[in-house]
Amino acid sequence: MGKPELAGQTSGKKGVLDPIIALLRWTWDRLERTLLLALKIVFPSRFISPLGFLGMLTVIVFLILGITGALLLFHFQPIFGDCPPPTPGTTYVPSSTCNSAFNSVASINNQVNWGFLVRNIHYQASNAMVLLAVMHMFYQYFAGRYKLRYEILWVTGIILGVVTIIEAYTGYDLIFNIRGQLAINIGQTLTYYTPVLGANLAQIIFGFSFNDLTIRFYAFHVFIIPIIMLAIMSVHLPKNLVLDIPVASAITGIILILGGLFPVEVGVRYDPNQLTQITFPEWYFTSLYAFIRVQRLAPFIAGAIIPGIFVLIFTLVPFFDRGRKIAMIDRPFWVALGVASLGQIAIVTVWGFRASNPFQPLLSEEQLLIDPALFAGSLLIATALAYGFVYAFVRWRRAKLDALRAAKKPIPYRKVQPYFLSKGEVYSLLGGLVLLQAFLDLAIFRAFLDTLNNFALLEIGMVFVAFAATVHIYRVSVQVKY
Amino acid sequence: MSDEKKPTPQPSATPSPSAKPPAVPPQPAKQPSTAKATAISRRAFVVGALGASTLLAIGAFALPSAPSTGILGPLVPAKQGPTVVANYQTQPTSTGTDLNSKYQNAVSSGNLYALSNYSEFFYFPYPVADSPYYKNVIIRLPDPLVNPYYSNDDVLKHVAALNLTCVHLRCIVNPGYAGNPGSGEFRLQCPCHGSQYRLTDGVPVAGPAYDLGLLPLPRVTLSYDSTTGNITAKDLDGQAGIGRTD
Repeated sequence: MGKPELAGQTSGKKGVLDPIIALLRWTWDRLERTLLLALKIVFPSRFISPLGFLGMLTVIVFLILGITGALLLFHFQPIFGDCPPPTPGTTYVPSSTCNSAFNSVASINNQVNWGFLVRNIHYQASNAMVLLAVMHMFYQYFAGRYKLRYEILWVTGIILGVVTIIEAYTGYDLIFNIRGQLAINIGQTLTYYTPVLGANLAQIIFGFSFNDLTIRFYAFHVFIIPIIMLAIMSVHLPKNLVLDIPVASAITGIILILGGLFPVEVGVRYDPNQLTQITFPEWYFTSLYAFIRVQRLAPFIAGAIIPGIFVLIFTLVPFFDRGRKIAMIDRPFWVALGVASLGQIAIVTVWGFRASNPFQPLLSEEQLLIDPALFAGSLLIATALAYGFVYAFVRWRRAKLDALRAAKKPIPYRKVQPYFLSKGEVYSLLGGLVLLQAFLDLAIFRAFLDTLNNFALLEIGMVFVAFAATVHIYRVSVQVKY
Repeated sequence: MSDEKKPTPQPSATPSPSAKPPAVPPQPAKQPSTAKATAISRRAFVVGALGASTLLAIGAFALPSAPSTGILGPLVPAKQGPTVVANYQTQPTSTGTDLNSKYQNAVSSGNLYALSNYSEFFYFPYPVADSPYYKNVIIRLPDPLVNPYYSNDDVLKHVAALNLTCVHLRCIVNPGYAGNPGSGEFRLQCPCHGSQYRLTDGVPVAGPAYDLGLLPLPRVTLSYDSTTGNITAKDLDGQAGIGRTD
């Protein structure tokens, strides 16, 4: 009954693939009853700026994190305690009080097959997700995409960003190296100093013992926060999505390449019986860390109130910027505010990484204290300068365009002339890329045989980037008529 | 008015009647008599039942959620009772391993400024596997110093026992020596942000803990057995990481 129709469509000939095509068509028709086809995902046929779909790239990185995280689940043990020193020549039996969390991460990194790859991808993808989320926010901010009934998307996006950072925090604490432990100390103290709720909240989030804490953070990191993120994402999802396969593939490749070039260390195992060592937190926390280190600034104000105000300002932007114009040139105040906040983030992050005397070891005293006058002064000057210059520039640009309009002169704009590859260039590039991929595949195989894990990771990443380049050249060249 | 209102839920609630318009007239004839008899309209009863049922359904959770934090609460391990943490002999010997002998040996060999020579770490009242924040130190105080809480006790006035979790950001502080030799500035020093605490009673004297006016370090209350020379830890008079709370 279905077959004659199909045969009629395919010019009367019966093909081998007909039943499969019929099955696919049958499935596709039934999928229309589901939510899947309601999402309008556009696969662009030509190159468009990835800045416009950074949100989708964040989702892709979230999926990578989900997959690698699920693989890490098989080997991670959320148990904390102090280990007895292993006696040489004996089989090591972990006792009930052993820093198994750290040991299991170390074994994932060093012993488990593919463990190094998966852990490095998970780590670099977590960095990439935070970075992409922040870039996504700032792009949408400068593009004015928080007004014109985008308010709910904007507010849920801000919440999602904060939750993403909390998720990253719970993740890197789970390793239980000294860096994670210092982050736990600070987080627990900040929660304790919260007015009214503090003590109860700290007990609910951090538990009492460190073993309790490990299990709680495990639950948060693996289940509770991702579920919250998915719930917020379902509201934050816009109707029209853009999924650009080459760019997604390139981002995946870059994450792998970074993992291969800068493999993350497991760090120094945290041992409560040893002297506290200081390390700097992850880059997305150094800004917070700088505030906490400022002299005579109470921890709760530094670590919660100030960043809270910063986030609140961004959350409330759509309710204060009521104008209907979204172009940057029409919003000098908001553009200048955005650039000033970017500058502020940059300066505070640099402060957070800075020891008082970089030539002295970090452990020596008062290396981490920041002079409040210097800190606040640099912050104020940089923010004021950035704000002033950008505001003046946007106003000047605006005045210039207005003058041109008044004189009825055409407004000049740069037209980018696309470069089209010639036929020979296309053939040689595509052939070269395919050969490169084949060579890389062999190299990956070789790297695995020699257990050169970071080479393997680097080369897998390069294969992804080469694939992205191939697809891109293909789609550029099919548009040109030779 | 009321007669017309009552039947309206009836047709919508029961979809079974065959004809819609004729089904309406016969019912009003029945309804008025029952409504007048019970004095509560059917709608009011249904709404009331719905409200009561909702309240009871919510109320089912009232009892389990009432006793404190329940399932959300932390797993607090059992506290250790009085524990012997150090030994102190009033007659020091050159080979003794008690606090007083170690101190006198450190003085005679000129190691007075290395507090680790005559202090001991211990975990109390929770073991290290439960929480690293319960690391404490017991120190034989260098001689001019006296523990103000035991100034009448001949032995315990020479000893201080304090919790080591910094009340600023929970780093573990260390006994050490600050300032110029000879000024007698023995302190507990935080390696993270440079908070310093007085050795005798754990009151912050420098760094962020002093600047922010935070609480002194919790003290371990002690008792001394003169026959064996054992010093027993009895209790912690505060919360680790928060400070002395009494």
